[in-house]
Amino acid sequence: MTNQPAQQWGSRLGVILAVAGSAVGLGNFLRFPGNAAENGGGAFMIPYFLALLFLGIPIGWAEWAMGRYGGRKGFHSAPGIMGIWCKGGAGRYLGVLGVLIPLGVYFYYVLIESWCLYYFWEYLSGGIGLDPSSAIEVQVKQTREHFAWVTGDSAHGALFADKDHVVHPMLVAFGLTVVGNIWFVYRGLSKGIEAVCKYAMPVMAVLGITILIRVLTLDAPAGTTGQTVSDGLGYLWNPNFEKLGDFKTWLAAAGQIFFSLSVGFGVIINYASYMKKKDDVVLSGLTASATNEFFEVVLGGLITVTASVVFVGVAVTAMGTGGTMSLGFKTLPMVFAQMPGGAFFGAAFFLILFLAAITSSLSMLQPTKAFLEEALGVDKRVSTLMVTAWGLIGNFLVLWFSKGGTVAGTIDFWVGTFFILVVAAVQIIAFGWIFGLERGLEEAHHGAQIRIPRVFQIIIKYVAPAYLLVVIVGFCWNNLPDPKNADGTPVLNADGSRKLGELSKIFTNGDVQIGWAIILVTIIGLVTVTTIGAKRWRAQGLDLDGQLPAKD
Amino acid sequence: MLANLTALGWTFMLLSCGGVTFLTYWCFKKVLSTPHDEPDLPGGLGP
Repeated sequence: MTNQPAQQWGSRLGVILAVAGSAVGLGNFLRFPGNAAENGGGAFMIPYFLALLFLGIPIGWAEWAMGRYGGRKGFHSAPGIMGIWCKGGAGRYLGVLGVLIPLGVYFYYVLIESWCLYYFWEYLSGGIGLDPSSAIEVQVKQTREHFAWVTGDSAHGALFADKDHVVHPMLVAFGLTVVGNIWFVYRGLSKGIEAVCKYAMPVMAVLGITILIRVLTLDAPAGTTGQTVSDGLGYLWNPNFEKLGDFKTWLAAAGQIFFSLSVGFGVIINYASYMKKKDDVVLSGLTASATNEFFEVVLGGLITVTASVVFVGVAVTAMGTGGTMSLGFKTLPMVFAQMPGGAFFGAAFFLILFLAAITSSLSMLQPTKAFLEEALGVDKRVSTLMVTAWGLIGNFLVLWFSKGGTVAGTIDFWVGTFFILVVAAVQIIAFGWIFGLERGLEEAHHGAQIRIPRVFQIIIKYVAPAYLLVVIVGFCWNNLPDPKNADGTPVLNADGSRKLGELSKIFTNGDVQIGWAIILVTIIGLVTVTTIGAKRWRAQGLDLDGQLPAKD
Repeated sequence: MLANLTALGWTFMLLSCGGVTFLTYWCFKKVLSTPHDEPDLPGGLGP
Protein backbone atom coordinates (compact mmCIF):
# COMPACT_ATOMS: atom_id res chain seq x y z
CA MET A 1 0.00 0.00 0.00
CA THR A 2 3.02 2.25 0.39
CA ASN A 3 6.03 2.47 -1.86
CA GLN A 4 8.37 0.95 0.70
CA PRO A 5 9.56 -2.65 0.17
CA ALA A 6 7.26 -5.34 1.52
CA GLN A 7 8.28 -6.69 4.91
CA GLN A 8 8.93 -10.36 5.41
CA TRP A 9 10.23 -12.78 7.99
CA GLY A 10 13.88 -13.72 7.94
CA SER A 11 13.34 -17.42 8.53
CA ARG A 12 10.64 -19.96 9.17
CA LEU A 13 11.92 -20.62 12.68
CA GLY A 14 11.79 -16.87 13.25
CA VAL A 15 8.08 -16.56 12.54
CA ILE A 16 7.33 -19.62 14.71
CA LEU A 17 9.28 -18.15 17.62
CA ALA A 18 7.67 -14.76 17.08
CA VAL A 19 4.17 -16.26 17.27
CA ALA A 20 5.17 -18.44 20.23
CA GLY A 21 6.74 -15.37 21.86
CA SER A 22 3.50 -13.50 21.41
CA ALA A 23 1.58 -16.36 23.04
CA VAL A 24 3.95 -17.03 25.93
CA GLY A 25 3.25 -14.36 28.49
CA LEU A 26 2.60 -13.82 32.17
CA GLY A 27 -0.47 -16.06 32.03
CA ASN A 28 1.67 -19.11 31.29
CA PHE A 29 3.67 -18.79 34.49
CA LEU A 30 1.15 -17.19 36.82
CA ARG A 31 -2.43 -17.67 35.63
CA PHE A 32 -2.23 -21.31 34.56
CA PRO A 33 -1.01 -22.83 37.85
CA GLY A 34 -3.54 -20.84 39.87
CA ASN A 35 -6.32 -21.82 37.51
CA ALA A 36 -5.35 -25.50 37.65
CA ALA A 37 -5.01 -25.57 41.43
CA GLU A 38 -8.42 -23.97 41.91
CA ASN A 39 -10.21 -26.13 39.36
CA GLY A 40 -9.47 -29.74 40.16
CA GLY A 41 -5.67 -29.97 39.94
CA GLY A 42 -4.71 -32.83 37.62
CA ALA A 43 -8.35 -33.32 36.65
CA PHE A 44 -8.30 -29.76 35.21
CA MET A 45 -6.02 -31.07 32.47
CA ILE A 46 -8.90 -33.08 30.94
CA PRO A 47 -11.02 -30.05 29.93
CA TYR A 48 -7.81 -28.12 29.33
CA PHE A 49 -6.50 -30.49 26.66
CA LEU A 50 -9.97 -30.93 25.15
CA ALA A 51 -10.16 -27.15 24.75
CA LEU A 52 -6.71 -27.19 23.16
CA LEU A 53 -7.86 -29.83 20.68
CA PHE A 54 -11.29 -28.41 19.88
CA LEU A 55 -10.65 -24.66 20.16
CA GLY A 56 -7.04 -23.58 20.33
CA ILE A 57 -5.43 -25.60 17.56
CA PRO A 58 -8.23 -25.42 14.94
CA ILE A 59 -8.86 -21.68 15.40
CA GLY A 60 -5.12 -21.13 15.31
CA TRP A 61 -4.81 -22.99 12.00
CA ALA A 62 -7.69 -20.97 10.57
CA GLU A 63 -6.05 -17.72 11.66
CA TRP A 64 -2.67 -18.65 10.18
CA ALA A 65 -4.30 -19.56 6.84
CA MET A 66 -6.43 -16.41 6.82
CA GLY A 67 -3.44 -14.20 7.48
CA ARG A 68 -1.27 -15.73 4.78
CA TYR A 69 -4.10 -15.57 2.23
CA GLY A 70 -4.79 -11.92 3.11
CA GLY A 71 -1.11 -11.10 2.70
CA ARG A 72 -1.15 -12.47 -0.83
CA LYS A 73 -3.98 -10.08 -1.60
CA GLY A 74 -1.96 -7.16 -0.28
CA PHE A 75 -3.41 -6.87 3.24
CA HIS A 76 -1.64 -7.18 6.57
CA SER A 77 -4.24 -5.91 9.01
CA ALA A 78 -7.28 -7.64 10.49
CA PRO A 79 -9.78 -5.19 8.90
CA GLY A 80 -8.33 -5.80 5.44
CA ILE A 81 -7.99 -9.57 5.84
CA MET A 82 -11.32 -10.18 7.53
CA GLY A 83 -13.03 -8.08 4.88
CA ILE A 84 -11.75 -10.60 2.33
CA TRP A 85 -12.70 -13.70 4.32
CA CYS A 86 -16.13 -12.37 5.29
CA LYS A 87 -16.68 -11.00 1.79
CA GLY A 88 -17.61 -7.46 2.66
CA GLY A 89 -17.76 -4.43 4.88
CA ALA A 90 -19.26 -6.15 7.93
CA GLY A 91 -16.21 -8.38 8.24
CA ARG A 92 -13.94 -5.41 7.63
CA TYR A 93 -15.47 -3.43 10.48
CA LEU A 94 -15.55 -6.47 12.78
CA GLY A 95 -11.88 -6.75 11.88
CA VAL A 96 -11.36 -3.42 13.64
CA LEU A 97 -11.56 -5.47 16.84
CA GLY A 98 -8.48 -7.34 15.60
CA VAL A 99 -6.53 -4.08 15.85
CA LEU A 100 -8.31 -2.77 18.93
CA ILE A 101 -7.42 -5.87 20.96
CA PRO A 102 -3.62 -5.74 20.64
CA LEU A 103 -3.56 -1.94 20.88
CA GLY A 104 -5.95 -1.78 23.84
CA VAL A 105 -4.16 -4.56 25.70
CA TYR A 106 -0.86 -2.77 25.03
CA PHE A 107 -2.21 0.25 26.94
CA TYR A 108 -1.96 -1.65 30.23
CA TYR A 109 0.21 -4.64 29.39
CA VAL A 110 3.32 -2.54 28.97
CA LEU A 111 2.83 -1.29 32.53
CA ILE A 112 2.83 -4.86 33.85
CA GLU A 113 5.93 -5.43 31.77
CA SER A 114 7.49 -2.43 33.53
CA TRP A 115 6.67 -3.96 36.92
CA CYS A 116 8.56 -7.12 35.84
CA LEU A 117 11.56 -5.03 34.79
CA TYR A 118 11.46 -3.09 38.04
CA TYR A 119 11.22 -6.24 40.19
CA PHE A 120 14.06 -7.77 38.15
CA TRP A 121 16.17 -4.71 38.92
CA GLU A 122 15.26 -4.91 42.61
CA TYR A 123 16.31 -8.56 42.83
CA LEU A 124 19.56 -7.77 41.03
CA SER A 125 20.07 -5.23 43.80
CA GLY A 126 19.39 -7.79 46.54
CA GLY A 127 15.61 -8.15 46.80
CA ILE A 128 12.61 -6.11 47.84
CA GLY A 129 13.64 -5.82 51.48
CA LEU A 130 11.63 -8.63 53.08
CA ASP A 131 12.90 -10.09 56.35
CA PRO A 132 12.48 -13.89 56.06
CA SER A 133 12.60 -14.27 59.85
CA SER A 134 9.56 -12.05 60.36
CA ALA A 135 6.10 -13.53 60.77
CA ILE A 136 4.39 -14.55 57.54
CA GLU A 137 1.58 -12.06 58.23
CA VAL A 138 4.16 -9.26 58.33
CA GLN A 139 5.65 -10.42 55.04
CA VAL A 140 2.21 -10.61 53.43
CA LYS A 141 1.57 -7.01 54.50
CA GLN A 142 4.97 -5.84 53.27
CA THR A 143 4.68 -7.46 49.84
CA ARG A 144 1.21 -6.02 49.37
CA GLU A 145 2.32 -2.53 50.36
CA HIS A 146 5.33 -2.76 48.10
CA PHE A 147 3.22 -3.90 45.15
CA ALA A 148 0.71 -1.10 45.81
CA TRP A 149 3.57 1.40 45.81
CA VAL A 150 4.98 0.06 42.53
CA THR A 151 1.58 0.14 40.83
CA GLY A 152 0.30 3.40 42.31
CA ASP A 153 -2.70 1.52 43.62
CA SER A 154 -3.52 3.96 46.44
CA ALA A 155 -4.81 6.90 44.40
CA HIS A 156 -5.07 8.28 40.89
CA GLY A 157 -1.82 9.99 39.97
CA ALA A 158 0.07 8.35 42.85
CA LEU A 159 3.00 7.42 40.59
CA PHE A 160 3.45 11.08 39.71
CA ALA A 161 3.33 12.29 43.32
CA ASP A 162 6.07 10.20 44.95
CA LYS A 163 7.64 12.40 47.62
CA ASP A 164 10.68 10.16 48.17
CA HIS A 165 12.01 10.34 44.62
CA VAL A 166 12.35 12.99 41.94
CA VAL A 167 10.82 10.48 39.55
CA HIS A 168 9.07 7.32 40.77
CA PRO A 169 11.43 4.41 39.89
CA MET A 170 8.56 2.57 38.22
CA LEU A 171 8.24 5.43 35.74
CA VAL A 172 11.90 4.96 34.83
CA ALA A 173 11.26 1.26 34.23
CA PHE A 174 8.19 2.22 32.20
CA GLY A 175 10.19 4.65 30.08
CA LEU A 176 12.85 2.04 29.33
CA THR A 177 10.21 -0.54 28.49
CA VAL A 178 8.39 1.77 26.08
CA VAL A 179 11.60 2.84 24.35
CA GLY A 180 12.58 -0.82 23.92
CA ASN A 181 9.22 -1.72 22.45
CA ILE A 182 9.17 1.19 20.02
CA TRP A 183 12.75 0.60 18.92
CA PHE A 184 12.25 -3.05 18.09
CA VAL A 185 8.95 -2.46 16.33
CA TYR A 186 10.52 0.33 14.29
CA ARG A 187 13.31 -2.00 13.19
CA GLY A 188 10.69 -4.16 11.54
CA LEU A 189 9.73 -7.81 11.47
CA SER A 190 13.03 -9.48 10.74
CA LYS A 191 15.51 -7.16 12.46
CA GLY A 192 13.24 -6.24 15.33
CA ILE A 193 10.54 -8.64 16.49
CA GLU A 194 12.09 -11.79 15.03
CA ALA A 195 15.55 -10.96 16.34
CA VAL A 196 14.24 -10.37 19.87
CA CYS A 197 12.21 -13.58 19.90
CA LYS A 198 15.05 -15.70 18.52
CA TYR A 199 17.15 -14.77 21.55
CA ALA A 200 14.47 -14.28 24.18
CA MET A 201 12.70 -17.61 23.73
CA PRO A 202 15.78 -19.83 24.24
CA VAL A 203 16.93 -17.63 27.15
CA MET A 204 13.52 -18.02 28.78
CA ALA A 205 13.62 -21.78 28.27
CA VAL A 206 17.11 -22.12 29.77
CA LEU A 207 16.33 -19.88 32.74
CA GLY A 208 13.01 -21.64 33.29
CA ILE A 209 14.54 -25.11 33.22
CA THR A 210 17.30 -23.93 35.60
CA ILE A 211 14.73 -22.66 38.10
CA LEU A 212 12.65 -25.81 37.62
CA ILE A 213 15.61 -28.04 38.48
CA ARG A 214 16.32 -25.92 41.55
CA VAL A 215 12.71 -26.13 42.73
CA LEU A 216 12.40 -29.88 42.17
CA THR A 217 15.64 -30.57 44.06
CA LEU A 218 14.84 -28.49 47.13
CA ASP A 219 15.70 -30.23 50.38
CA ALA A 220 12.76 -31.57 52.30
CA PRO A 221 11.51 -29.68 54.14
CA ALA A 222 13.30 -26.68 52.62
CA GLY A 223 11.27 -23.94 54.21
CA THR A 224 9.77 -23.17 57.56
CA THR A 225 6.42 -24.70 56.67
CA GLY A 226 7.53 -28.32 56.97
CA GLN A 227 6.14 -29.02 53.53
CA THR A 228 8.00 -30.82 50.79
CA VAL A 229 8.27 -30.61 47.02
CA SER A 230 5.96 -33.61 46.85
CA ASP A 231 3.37 -31.65 48.84
CA GLY A 232 3.71 -28.74 46.44
CA LEU A 233 3.30 -30.93 43.39
CA GLY A 234 0.42 -32.75 45.07
CA TYR A 235 -1.35 -29.43 45.72
CA LEU A 236 -1.35 -28.67 42.02
CA TRP A 237 -1.51 -32.11 40.36
CA ASN A 238 -3.54 -34.46 42.60
CA PRO A 239 -6.84 -34.71 40.73
CA ASN A 240 -10.18 -33.72 42.22
CA PHE A 241 -12.68 -35.28 39.83
CA GLU A 242 -15.67 -33.67 41.54
CA LYS A 243 -14.64 -30.38 39.94
CA LEU A 244 -15.35 -31.85 36.49
CA GLY A 245 -19.05 -31.66 37.32
CA ASP A 246 -18.79 -27.88 37.70
CA PHE A 247 -19.37 -25.90 34.50
CA LYS A 248 -17.02 -23.18 35.76
CA THR A 249 -14.10 -25.64 35.59
CA TRP A 250 -14.75 -26.23 31.88
CA LEU A 251 -15.12 -22.51 31.30
CA ALA A 252 -11.86 -21.80 33.13
CA ALA A 253 -10.04 -24.45 31.07
CA ALA A 254 -11.36 -23.09 27.77
CA GLY A 255 -10.51 -19.55 28.85
CA GLN A 256 -6.99 -20.56 29.83
CA ILE A 257 -6.31 -22.27 26.50
CA PHE A 258 -7.94 -19.55 24.53
CA PHE A 259 -6.19 -16.55 25.97
CA SER A 260 -2.89 -18.33 26.36
CA LEU A 261 -2.55 -19.21 22.68
CA SER A 262 -3.28 -15.65 21.45
CA VAL A 263 -5.89 -16.92 18.99
CA GLY A 264 -8.44 -14.25 18.07
CA PHE A 265 -6.02 -11.60 19.31
CA GLY A 266 -5.27 -10.05 15.91
CA VAL A 267 -1.57 -10.94 16.04
CA ILE A 268 -1.33 -14.32 14.27
CA ILE A 269 -3.40 -12.99 11.35
CA ASN A 270 -0.96 -10.08 11.01
CA TYR A 271 2.21 -12.15 11.43
CA ALA A 272 1.06 -14.83 8.97
CA SER A 273 0.25 -12.18 6.35
CA TYR A 274 3.98 -11.71 5.77
CA MET A 275 4.43 -15.35 4.73
CA LYS A 276 4.57 -16.60 1.16
CA LYS A 277 2.13 -19.05 -0.39
CA LYS A 278 4.64 -21.89 -0.19
CA ASP A 279 5.48 -21.23 3.45
CA ASP A 280 4.01 -23.86 5.73
CA VAL A 281 1.34 -22.71 8.14
CA VAL A 282 0.01 -26.02 9.46
CA LEU A 283 3.17 -27.32 11.13
CA SER A 284 4.23 -23.79 12.01
CA GLY A 285 0.94 -23.15 13.79
CA LEU A 286 1.13 -26.44 15.65
CA THR A 287 4.75 -25.78 16.65
CA ALA A 288 3.95 -22.33 18.00
CA SER A 289 1.03 -23.79 20.00
CA ALA A 290 3.17 -26.66 21.30
CA THR A 291 5.90 -24.25 22.39
CA ASN A 292 3.35 -22.20 24.29
CA GLU A 293 2.07 -25.37 25.96
CA PHE A 294 5.58 -26.39 27.01
CA PHE A 295 6.10 -23.06 28.75
CA GLU A 296 2.66 -23.22 30.31
CA VAL A 297 2.26 -26.83 31.46
CA VAL A 298 5.86 -27.81 32.20
CA LEU A 299 7.42 -24.57 33.43
CA GLY A 300 4.25 -22.84 34.62
CA GLY A 301 2.82 -26.00 36.10
CA LEU A 302 5.86 -27.17 38.03
CA ILE A 303 7.65 -24.06 39.30
CA THR A 304 5.56 -21.35 40.90
CA VAL A 305 2.95 -23.13 42.99
CA THR A 306 5.35 -25.90 44.02
CA ALA A 307 7.90 -23.42 45.37
CA SER A 308 5.17 -21.36 46.97
CA VAL A 309 3.69 -24.30 48.91
CA VAL A 310 7.12 -25.40 50.11
CA PHE A 311 8.17 -22.00 51.40
CA VAL A 312 5.05 -20.16 52.43
CA GLY A 313 2.47 -22.90 52.81
CA VAL A 314 -0.89 -23.68 51.30
CA ALA A 315 -2.85 -20.86 52.93
CA VAL A 316 -0.64 -18.09 51.57
CA THR A 317 -0.32 -19.84 48.20
CA ALA A 318 -4.09 -20.09 47.93
CA MET A 319 -4.37 -16.32 48.49
CA GLY A 320 -2.07 -15.82 45.53
CA THR A 321 -3.72 -18.23 43.12
CA GLY A 322 -6.83 -16.06 43.02
CA GLY A 323 -5.25 -13.76 40.46
CA THR A 324 -2.37 -13.55 38.03
CA MET A 325 -0.76 -10.57 39.70
CA SER A 326 -1.18 -11.85 43.25
CA LEU A 327 0.85 -15.00 42.70
CA GLY A 328 3.65 -13.25 40.83
CA PHE A 329 4.06 -9.99 42.68
CA LYS A 330 2.73 -10.69 46.17
CA THR A 331 3.30 -14.38 46.93
CA LEU A 332 6.50 -15.24 45.07
CA PRO A 333 8.57 -12.41 46.65
CA MET A 334 7.98 -14.16 50.00
CA VAL A 335 9.18 -17.42 48.44
CA PHE A 336 12.36 -15.79 47.17
CA ALA A 337 12.96 -14.24 50.60
CA GLN A 338 12.93 -17.74 52.15
CA MET A 339 14.79 -19.56 49.38
CA PRO A 340 18.59 -19.97 49.54
CA GLY A 341 19.98 -17.80 46.73
CA GLY A 342 16.60 -16.13 46.53
CA ALA A 343 17.91 -12.88 45.05
CA PHE A 344 19.43 -14.75 42.10
CA PHE A 345 16.35 -16.89 41.50
CA GLY A 346 14.09 -13.87 41.97
CA ALA A 347 16.07 -11.93 39.37
CA ALA A 348 16.02 -14.91 37.01
CA PHE A 349 12.28 -15.38 37.47
CA PHE A 350 11.37 -11.75 36.87
CA LEU A 351 13.71 -11.67 33.88
CA ILE A 352 11.70 -14.59 32.44
CA LEU A 353 8.49 -12.69 33.10
CA PHE A 354 9.91 -9.56 31.48
CA LEU A 355 11.07 -11.45 28.39
CA ALA A 356 7.72 -13.23 28.18
CA ALA A 357 6.01 -9.87 28.42
CA ILE A 358 8.15 -8.01 25.89
CA THR A 359 7.84 -10.73 23.25
CA SER A 360 4.09 -10.35 23.72
CA SER A 361 3.95 -6.54 23.80
CA LEU A 362 6.02 -6.24 20.61
CA SER A 363 3.36 -8.29 18.88
CA MET A 364 0.70 -5.89 20.13
CA LEU A 365 2.14 -2.84 18.36
CA GLN A 366 2.88 -4.47 15.01
CA PRO A 367 -0.78 -4.98 13.91
CA THR A 368 -1.61 -1.29 14.48
CA LYS A 369 1.56 -0.18 12.73
CA ALA A 370 0.75 -2.38 9.72
CA PHE A 371 -2.85 -1.16 9.75
CA LEU A 372 -1.85 2.52 9.69
CA GLU A 373 0.62 1.91 6.86
CA GLU A 374 -1.81 0.12 4.62
CA ALA A 375 -4.89 2.20 5.42
CA LEU A 376 -3.29 5.66 5.33
CA GLY A 377 -0.40 4.93 2.96
CA VAL A 378 2.21 6.25 5.40
CA ASP A 379 5.76 4.92 5.63
CA LYS A 380 7.21 3.06 8.60
CA ARG A 381 8.62 6.16 10.28
CA VAL A 382 5.25 7.88 10.31
CA SER A 383 3.41 4.72 11.31
CA THR A 384 5.89 4.13 14.16
CA LEU A 385 5.41 7.71 15.33
CA MET A 386 1.65 7.37 15.18
CA VAL A 387 1.53 4.05 17.02
CA THR A 388 3.99 5.42 19.60
CA ALA A 389 1.80 8.45 20.24
CA TRP A 390 -1.39 6.38 20.34
CA GLY A 391 0.20 3.86 22.69
CA LEU A 392 1.66 6.54 24.97
CA ILE A 393 -1.67 8.32 25.34
CA GLY A 394 -3.28 5.03 26.36
CA ASN A 395 -0.36 4.14 28.67
CA PHE A 396 -0.49 7.54 30.33
CA LEU A 397 -4.23 7.34 30.98
CA VAL A 398 -3.86 3.89 32.56
CA LEU A 399 -0.81 5.07 34.52
CA TRP A 400 -2.63 8.12 35.83
CA PHE A 401 -5.93 6.42 36.66
CA SER A 402 -4.14 3.77 38.67
CA LYS A 403 -6.30 3.53 41.79
CA GLY A 404 -7.39 -0.04 42.38
CA GLY A 405 -6.40 -0.98 38.83
CA THR A 406 -10.04 -0.52 37.77
CA VAL A 407 -9.37 1.30 34.50
CA ALA A 408 -6.83 -1.32 33.40
CA GLY A 409 -9.17 -4.06 34.63
CA THR A 410 -12.03 -2.68 32.55
CA ILE A 411 -9.95 -2.65 29.38
CA ASP A 412 -8.68 -6.14 30.22
CA PHE A 413 -12.17 -7.51 30.72
CA TRP A 414 -13.81 -6.09 27.60
CA VAL A 415 -10.95 -5.73 25.12
CA GLY A 416 -8.53 -8.35 26.42
CA THR A 417 -11.14 -11.00 27.12
CA PHE A 418 -14.64 -10.52 25.72
CA PHE A 419 -13.70 -9.07 22.30
CA ILE A 420 -11.16 -11.87 21.77
CA LEU A 421 -13.98 -14.38 22.00
CA VAL A 422 -15.95 -12.34 19.47
CA VAL A 423 -13.07 -12.12 16.99
CA ALA A 424 -12.33 -15.84 17.29
CA ALA A 425 -15.99 -16.63 16.65
CA VAL A 426 -16.00 -14.43 13.54
CA GLN A 427 -12.80 -16.04 12.31
CA ILE A 428 -13.88 -19.65 12.69
CA ILE A 429 -17.27 -18.91 11.10
CA ALA A 430 -15.61 -17.02 8.25
CA PHE A 431 -13.20 -19.92 7.68
CA GLY A 432 -15.67 -22.78 7.96
CA TRP A 433 -18.85 -21.25 6.61
CA ILE A 434 -18.37 -18.02 4.61
CA PHE A 435 -15.10 -18.67 2.78
CA GLY A 436 -15.91 -22.38 2.71
CA LEU A 437 -14.30 -25.20 4.67
CA GLU A 438 -12.84 -27.13 1.74
CA ARG A 439 -11.48 -23.95 0.17
CA GLY A 440 -10.11 -22.83 3.51
CA LEU A 441 -8.37 -26.15 4.15
CA GLU A 442 -7.00 -26.17 0.62
CA GLU A 443 -5.57 -22.73 1.30
CA ALA A 444 -4.08 -23.92 4.61
CA HIS A 445 -2.45 -26.91 2.88
CA HIS A 446 -0.41 -24.87 0.40
CA GLY A 447 3.19 -25.61 1.32
CA ALA A 448 2.10 -27.62 4.35
CA GLN A 449 4.58 -30.07 5.83
CA ILE A 450 1.89 -32.00 7.62
CA ARG A 451 -1.74 -32.47 6.75
CA ILE A 452 -4.59 -31.38 8.95
CA PRO A 453 -6.28 -34.66 9.96
CA ARG A 454 -9.67 -35.23 8.38
CA VAL A 455 -11.44 -35.20 11.77
CA PHE A 456 -10.73 -31.48 11.94
CA GLN A 457 -13.18 -30.99 9.08
CA ILE A 458 -15.95 -31.66 11.60
CA ILE A 459 -14.17 -29.89 14.43
CA ILE A 460 -13.63 -26.65 12.48
CA LYS A 461 -17.09 -26.58 10.94
CA TYR A 462 -19.25 -27.67 13.86
CA VAL A 463 -17.46 -28.41 17.11
CA ALA A 464 -15.31 -25.28 17.48
CA PRO A 465 -18.11 -22.78 16.70
CA ALA A 466 -20.51 -24.61 19.04
CA TYR A 467 -17.88 -24.90 21.78
CA LEU A 468 -17.08 -21.22 21.39
CA LEU A 469 -20.76 -20.29 21.57
CA VAL A 470 -21.09 -22.17 24.86
CA VAL A 471 -17.96 -20.45 26.18
CA ILE A 472 -19.26 -16.99 25.19
CA VAL A 473 -22.71 -17.60 26.71
CA GLY A 474 -21.18 -19.06 29.88
CA PHE A 475 -18.71 -16.19 30.14
CA CYS A 476 -21.48 -13.59 29.80
CA TRP A 477 -23.74 -15.46 32.24
CA ASN A 478 -21.01 -15.56 34.86
CA ASN A 479 -19.79 -11.99 34.49
CA LEU A 480 -22.33 -9.56 33.10
CA PRO A 481 -25.36 -9.65 35.44
CA ASP A 482 -25.12 -8.81 39.14
CA PRO A 483 -24.08 -12.01 40.96
CA LYS A 484 -26.64 -13.74 43.15
CA ASN A 485 -26.45 -16.40 45.84
CA ALA A 486 -28.13 -19.77 45.39
CA ASP A 487 -31.22 -18.48 47.21
CA GLY A 488 -31.51 -15.52 44.82
CA THR A 489 -30.25 -12.87 47.25
CA PRO A 490 -27.56 -10.46 45.98
CA VAL A 491 -23.92 -11.20 46.76
CA LEU A 492 -22.45 -8.58 49.09
CA ASN A 493 -18.98 -7.10 49.32
CA ALA A 494 -17.04 -7.05 52.60
CA ASP A 495 -18.36 -3.53 53.32
CA GLY A 496 -21.97 -4.68 52.92
CA SER A 497 -22.50 -3.06 49.53
CA ARG A 498 -24.00 -5.08 46.72
CA LYS A 499 -21.53 -6.78 44.39
CA LEU A 500 -22.08 -5.65 40.83
CA GLY A 501 -21.76 -7.42 37.51
CA GLU A 502 -19.75 -5.92 34.65
CA LEU A 503 -22.83 -4.39 33.01
CA SER A 504 -23.98 -2.54 36.15
CA LYS A 505 -20.46 -1.24 36.72
CA ILE A 506 -20.58 0.64 33.41
CA PHE A 507 -23.43 2.78 34.69
CA THR A 508 -22.32 3.23 38.29
CA ASN A 509 -18.52 3.17 38.54
CA GLY A 510 -16.63 6.27 37.40
CA ASP A 511 -13.35 4.44 36.82
CA VAL A 512 -15.09 1.82 34.70
CA GLN A 513 -16.56 4.67 32.68
CA ILE A 514 -13.06 6.10 32.15
CA GLY A 515 -11.95 2.67 30.92
CA TRP A 516 -14.89 2.56 28.53
CA ALA A 517 -14.18 6.10 27.32
CA ILE A 518 -10.66 4.98 26.38
CA ILE A 519 -12.09 1.95 24.57
CA LEU A 520 -14.72 3.95 22.69
CA VAL A 521 -12.34 6.71 21.57
CA THR A 522 -9.94 4.04 20.32
CA ILE A 523 -12.71 2.26 18.42
CA ILE A 524 -13.83 5.52 16.82
CA GLY A 525 -10.25 6.24 15.73
CA LEU A 526 -9.80 2.77 14.25
CA VAL A 527 -13.17 2.83 12.47
CA THR A 528 -12.27 6.20 10.95
CA VAL A 529 -8.95 4.84 9.70
CA THR A 530 -10.70 1.77 8.32
CA THR A 531 -13.16 3.93 6.39
CA ILE A 532 -10.33 6.01 4.94
CA GLY A 533 -8.43 2.82 4.14
CA ALA A 534 -11.39 1.19 2.40
CA LYS A 535 -11.67 4.20 0.08
CA ARG A 536 -7.96 4.04 -0.71
CA TRP A 537 -8.01 0.30 -1.30
CA ARG A 538 -10.98 0.62 -3.62
CA ALA A 539 -9.29 3.43 -5.51
CA GLN A 540 -6.20 1.26 -5.86
CA GLY A 541 -8.30 -1.52 -7.37
CA LEU A 542 -7.66 -3.96 -4.53
CA ASP A 543 -10.06 -6.84 -4.03
CA LEU A 544 -11.10 -5.76 -0.55
CA ASP A 545 -14.35 -7.76 -0.57
CA GLY A 546 -12.66 -11.04 -1.48
CA GLN A 547 -14.39 -11.56 -4.81
CA LEU A 548 -11.33 -12.71 -6.77
CA PRO A 549 -8.86 -15.57 -6.22
CA ALA A 550 -5.53 -14.64 -4.68
CA LYS A 551 -2.43 -14.23 -6.81
CA ASP A 552 0.28 -16.86 -6.35
CA MET B 1 -6.33 -30.86 51.54
CA LEU B 2 -2.54 -31.05 51.44
CA ALA B 3 -1.09 -34.41 50.49
CA ASN B 4 1.96 -35.87 48.87
CA LEU B 5 1.75 -36.36 45.17
CA THR B 6 -0.45 -39.44 44.76
CA ALA B 7 -0.17 -42.11 42.07
CA LEU B 8 -2.97 -40.41 40.15
CA GLY B 9 -1.27 -37.04 40.60
CA TRP B 10 1.94 -38.53 39.22
CA THR B 11 0.00 -39.95 36.28
CA PHE B 12 -1.64 -36.65 35.38
CA MET B 13 1.58 -34.71 35.83
CA LEU B 14 3.74 -37.07 33.79
CA LEU B 15 1.18 -37.48 31.00
CA SER B 16 0.59 -33.74 30.75
CA CYS B 17 4.20 -32.61 30.96
CA GLY B 18 5.51 -35.56 28.95
CA GLY B 19 2.85 -35.09 26.29
CA VAL B 20 3.50 -31.42 25.63
CA THR B 21 7.28 -31.91 25.81
CA PHE B 22 7.11 -34.71 23.24
CA LEU B 23 4.81 -32.68 20.98
CA THR B 24 7.14 -29.67 21.15
CA TYR B 25 10.18 -31.87 20.44
CA TRP B 26 8.45 -33.59 17.51
CA CYS B 27 7.32 -30.30 16.00
CA PHE B 28 10.73 -28.64 16.19
CA LYS B 29 12.44 -31.77 14.90
CA LYS B 30 10.11 -31.77 11.92
CA VAL B 31 10.53 -28.03 11.33
CA LEU B 32 14.31 -28.12 11.53
CA SER B 33 14.82 -31.32 9.55
CA THR B 34 12.73 -30.41 6.53
CA PRO B 35 14.19 -28.37 3.68
CA HIS B 36 12.61 -24.94 3.42
CA ASP B 37 11.33 -25.09 -0.13
CA GLU B 38 9.20 -28.11 -0.72
CA PRO B 39 6.64 -28.84 -3.38
CA ASP B 40 3.07 -28.31 -2.24
CA LEU B 41 1.20 -31.21 -0.76
CA PRO B 42 -1.95 -31.95 -2.68
CA GLY B 43 -4.67 -29.53 -1.70
CA GLY B 44 -7.74 -30.51 0.26
CA LEU B 45 -8.12 -32.66 3.29
CA GLY B 46 -5.73 -35.05 4.94
CA PRO B 47 -6.08 -38.82 5.15
